[in-house]
Amino acid sequence: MTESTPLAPSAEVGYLPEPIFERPPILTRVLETAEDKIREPLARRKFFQRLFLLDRDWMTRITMLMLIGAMVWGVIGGLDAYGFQSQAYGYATSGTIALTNQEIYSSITLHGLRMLFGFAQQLEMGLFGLLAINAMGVKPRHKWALYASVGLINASIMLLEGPFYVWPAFNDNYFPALGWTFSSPLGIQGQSAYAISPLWFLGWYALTAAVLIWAGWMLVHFRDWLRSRPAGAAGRLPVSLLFVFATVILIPITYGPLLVSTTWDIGTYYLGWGLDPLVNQVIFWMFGHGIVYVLFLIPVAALYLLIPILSKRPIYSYRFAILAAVLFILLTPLLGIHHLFLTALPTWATYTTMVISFLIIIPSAVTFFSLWMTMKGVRRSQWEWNIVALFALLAFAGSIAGGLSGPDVATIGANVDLHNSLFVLSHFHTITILAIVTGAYAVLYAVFPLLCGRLWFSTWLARIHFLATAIGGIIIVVCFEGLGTLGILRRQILFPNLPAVDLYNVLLFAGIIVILVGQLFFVLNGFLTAYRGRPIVTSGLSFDEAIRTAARSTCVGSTVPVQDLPIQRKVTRARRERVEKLWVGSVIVLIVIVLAAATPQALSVTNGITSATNAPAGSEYITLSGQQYYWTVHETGPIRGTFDNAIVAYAGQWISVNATATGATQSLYIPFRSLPMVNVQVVPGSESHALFQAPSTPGVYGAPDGEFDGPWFGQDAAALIVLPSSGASDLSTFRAGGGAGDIYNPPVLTAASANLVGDSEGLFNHSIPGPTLYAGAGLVSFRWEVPLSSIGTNNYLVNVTSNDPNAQQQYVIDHNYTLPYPVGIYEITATHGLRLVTAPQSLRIDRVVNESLPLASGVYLYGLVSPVSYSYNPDGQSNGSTGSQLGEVMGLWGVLWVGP
Amino acid sequence: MSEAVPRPSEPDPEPANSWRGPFAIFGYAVAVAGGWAVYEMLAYADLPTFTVAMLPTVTGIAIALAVFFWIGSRAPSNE
Repeated sequence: MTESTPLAPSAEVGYLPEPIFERPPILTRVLETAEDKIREPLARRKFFQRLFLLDRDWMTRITMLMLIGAMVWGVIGGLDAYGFQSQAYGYATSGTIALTNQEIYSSITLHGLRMLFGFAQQLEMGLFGLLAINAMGVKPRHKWALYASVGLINASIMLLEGPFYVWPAFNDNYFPALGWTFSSPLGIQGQSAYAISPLWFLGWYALTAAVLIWAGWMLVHFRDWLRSRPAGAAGRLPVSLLFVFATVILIPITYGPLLVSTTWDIGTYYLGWGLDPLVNQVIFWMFGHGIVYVLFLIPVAALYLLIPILSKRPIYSYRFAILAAVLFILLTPLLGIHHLFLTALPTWATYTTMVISFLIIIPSAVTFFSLWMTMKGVRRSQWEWNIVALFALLAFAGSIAGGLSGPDVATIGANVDLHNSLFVLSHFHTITILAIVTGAYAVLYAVFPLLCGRLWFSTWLARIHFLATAIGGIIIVVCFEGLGTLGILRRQILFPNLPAVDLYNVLLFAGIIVILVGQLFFVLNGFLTAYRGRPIVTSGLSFDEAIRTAARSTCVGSTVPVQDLPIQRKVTRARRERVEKLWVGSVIVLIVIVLAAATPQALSVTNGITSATNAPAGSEYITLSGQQYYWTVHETGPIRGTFDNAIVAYAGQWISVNATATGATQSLYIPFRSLPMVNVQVVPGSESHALFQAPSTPGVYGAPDGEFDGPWFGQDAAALIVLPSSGASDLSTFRAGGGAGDIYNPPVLTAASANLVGDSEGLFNHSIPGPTLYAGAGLVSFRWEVPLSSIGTNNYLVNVTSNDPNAQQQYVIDHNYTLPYPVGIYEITATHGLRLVTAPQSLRIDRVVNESLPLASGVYLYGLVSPVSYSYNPDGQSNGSTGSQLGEVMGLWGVLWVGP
Repeated sequence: MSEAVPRPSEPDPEPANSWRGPFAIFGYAVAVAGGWAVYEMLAYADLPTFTVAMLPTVTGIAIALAVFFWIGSRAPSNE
């Protein structure tokens, strides 16, 4: 017999008026009157009455409101992903991008916010509240607190979007948008070139208030349950409720740090407080990773609820479920630093976090083993493969697949290869789509009929929904994994247009469309169920039997009875727990062995970042100063000079880097495939170090910024220029060797036949840095042009000062097609940095320029080799309430390699 | 909840853990999911740092999966 409780009366009895023991406060009376005035006329219309359950008790009505709100944000958040990936699809297939950098940057942020908080967090609150109240059998109270929570969470998502213009001009609803991960000092006026609207901070406050009110509401009812039990009475919470209340406990622990980091950012922004970005980020990430576990408890609680019900057997070990719940609570808040493994945090902090990140495998291991064992002995004829069971199966598999990819990124030595790559997206979309979303759907399919009193309308719509979610989700995860193995950075729209990259992006777009279309079937089925479904009869049924009855309405021709199955325990608890102990003990032993084996590399990586390692004689010493969208590079050693976005070294030379940053976190990311990768995070206010050996093959290697630090993130790419240690190189070895597999290497073109054309992103030929031009010593010729048509919102060459989309081009025309930025050809010298070899000239627009000059063997830079100052302020809309965008960006440059 | 209700005594021709029962199906799902997780890391096997950094973790994951199935297959049923 599973742990079932009598079905709570609210689903059948209808509206239960609040018993009035005393006159309610005046505010409550006003709100009640207002609610009745809105509800009663709407309830007379069948559409609203059925959809919003207006004739039901308030708990049911509010729960339905939360489910509808969650689905609305889920659809909108899904469309955000569609919007971003449609641009990636366009870039992959035709090299064109229709949206602005600001819109693209924001669409990813909004996708994350709307899915995690608007959809998943709200859904969790609705479902967990419903389950808890029904399972405990307590009378729900404090209606207006719950309403306030719902109102605040939905309002918070609106606030986080930033300023909203009712009558949009050409580029506004995402202006100036937002910054994800809240990586201080990004977004703070006076600290960063990209400052955000204060609505962003208000949004986080509203979200925190919403979840804290809800957690308090849940605790009040838990207290009611404790008080309602007779003294000395035996009894325990259903196992799924252990994880519901683990969530309730984790919420203040998780959102508390968010409150601290947000308040600190506000204080810095408006009150001039001092800021330590690294400490602020540590505090933020206590929230940033904690929230993932708060939401991961959706599928955990769902599976603990549904698998025993579908199996008609109790959980294999209740006491080990308690252990899992307690471990989730204790370990979750301590994981945040694993997002900062490659920063200059002390080694003890990063290493301890790696250990804890492995320890949290234990509660997951306990959970999924227990759940699997719960089904052992269940006959095939006793198990119904309804949609609830199918989603439970998918959530089970998704949790394991996503969970097992977590230790990969948690291994510091491997984090070097994985951090900020699309592998991370594969990992957490396996968790979010294939575990959290599917777990939520498993519960939704089980409880929605009980909520609205009607059986599911269509099994076919349910099946199509399941298949589309599964297929679309798997396509997305596989494509992210494929792109990650190539070294592609997350969130990047200006990716290298290589066949494999383009193909994955096209398939990813297809996967997103499949999963989005699939959700429409669920929405349709939900609407038809509420509106026209057959009434469900649950009188005389236990809770478990009612769940099975609801689930059965998604299955055709089932012969499995819904009745609970009395079962006599043949296997003692002690024997079952011995099995659990054997499993947990094995996991602990494996964790200890893996940690021991991974420790030397972990310490080597973190020590190498936090302090300068002794470099061999003859090393190149480089000071990198991150300027949010480019690096200034100061070199001493065999090569001396200052460059922008270019790191110069001899083949095989050791390079010792000391890096700092202002404005936002940056990262030096050189994704070699046949050499050790370079991947170092640089947080403002701290110094990060790196020691690595330049490739032994001379050539130009791409080094994009791995951190998503503003709308000009895509143009933020440096080059590691490896000079021949002696003589001249014809780049044949570089080309034959695939450039050490660095996917960001600019393409090599023969100078004489190259046609460099500036594009709408301010790059030559969609390449950043621009293509490497090769020529033999002697007369070197190449041509380039920056068409007037390339000047637009996504081109940093001309400031945005007007909402008129033609204003930038008009500016160029008014200034005689000339912009005051010096272009030329510069020789890289070993002793004096760059030496100009052509007469300096201003950038000409809409003019083909044919360069032709005698050059000796050597390596040169062409184009705009210094950044351009940029500002985005259409019609003065940029201000303290909307935010601002400034920046120094460079893109129209590349390397001219003159061989023997 | 009481667990002491006697079971019906009629014979049950269906094996308790058929290869098409839920225990087996969920086990296959674990195998696929775990196999994917291991494959994900093997896809990085050509990176120079893989052997030193990743091998312990991916080996640990593979062994854990093997232990999971070994213990699960030999453990008593949930009866």
